[in-house]
Amino acid sequence: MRHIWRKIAGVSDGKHLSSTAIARTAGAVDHHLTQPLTSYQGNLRRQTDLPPGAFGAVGDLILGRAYTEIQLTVEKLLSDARAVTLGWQRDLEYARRNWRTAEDLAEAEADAIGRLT
Amino acid sequence: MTPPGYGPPPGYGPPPSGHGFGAPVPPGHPQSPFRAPAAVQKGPSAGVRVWRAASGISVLAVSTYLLVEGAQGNEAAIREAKTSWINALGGTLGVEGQLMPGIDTVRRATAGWQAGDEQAFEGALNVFNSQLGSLKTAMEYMGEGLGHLADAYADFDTAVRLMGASLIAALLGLRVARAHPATAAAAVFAEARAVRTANLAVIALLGQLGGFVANTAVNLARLRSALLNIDTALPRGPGAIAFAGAEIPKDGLPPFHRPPERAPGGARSLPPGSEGFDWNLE
Repeated sequence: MRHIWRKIAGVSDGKHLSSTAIARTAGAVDHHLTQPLTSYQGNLRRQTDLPPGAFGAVGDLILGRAYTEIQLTVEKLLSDARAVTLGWQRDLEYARRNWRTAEDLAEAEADAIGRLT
Repeated sequence: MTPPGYGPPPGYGPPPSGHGFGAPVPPGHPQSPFRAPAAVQKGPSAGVRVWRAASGISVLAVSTYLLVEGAQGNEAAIREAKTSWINALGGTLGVEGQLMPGIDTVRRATAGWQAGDEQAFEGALNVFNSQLGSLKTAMEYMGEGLGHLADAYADFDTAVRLMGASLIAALLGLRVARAHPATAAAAVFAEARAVRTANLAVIALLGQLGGFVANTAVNLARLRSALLNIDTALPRGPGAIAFAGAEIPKDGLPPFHRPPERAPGGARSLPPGSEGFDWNLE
């Protein structure tokens, strides 16, 4: 009977504390890291691109390539960072499911002990 | 409650959205940290216009006008790109040496999860934080370099404009002398000398600007190889960045392993090795 009341009360019953926190963490990683990084990576070129002749006709020949290479490098680093946060999200999803299983197993065990005594 | 040091500097108004990164703001939005698309410079700069006028008066100035036009940069566009590197991208990523606002939010979300796997995740967060800080420094470094470059182009334009203006004044004065038969021959020599002096001065300035631009190109190439850890680090400025080190270590941490497939009708089970892990359940 107890677990039905828990279900009605939601997940914050103390038994699913860790899996709830992990789900919240994965959400924060997505919202506060992955999404902004995606947005910066997509905007970088457009926001830092210079019109042709920005360094002068001669300067463009000297600088243009080095400048584009820096843009590409920073873009790649942002993409690396995004790959890491996406990996975190996958790992955290695994952890959430494992913790949920462990919590439920522990609760079933506690219920069984409770019934015996 | 924003911890000290994470808020915007005084006088900049509230951050785009609440605490930390918040949801991304589209670039067109008034609160967006990104600038509007690059403005197109309206016509040639003052220095180029002055030399065009001078070459209209004396044919001898035409070659210098062409040199000046070829060297002239778009100062406004460079300054706008500088702002993007420093503010829009770097500023929102946080401050090096401090916890990034978004990372702080993630760290606080872990409350209630207390076991060895949480420690491992926090370690990964710290590594990620320092790498992101280095990337931010690199972007600022880039913006600084562009600022110096814009200054160099502006200085060049000012100097060239002043020189061209005094050349025009001299040429206009010689016109009067040319009109009189007594001084006409001398005026032609004087014109050639005035233009030659101005040409030489502009060529010296061009050499300075060209040297600066070439130095900047070398510095950009160095910055890139330092970021990618191809070459040795820069004497000053950001160093190598490798986000791969911020992955969560999974050895000895079964919670991060993929859960075993559930047999049809069977119960859920834990990854192998889970018995040895301290799940910290009461």
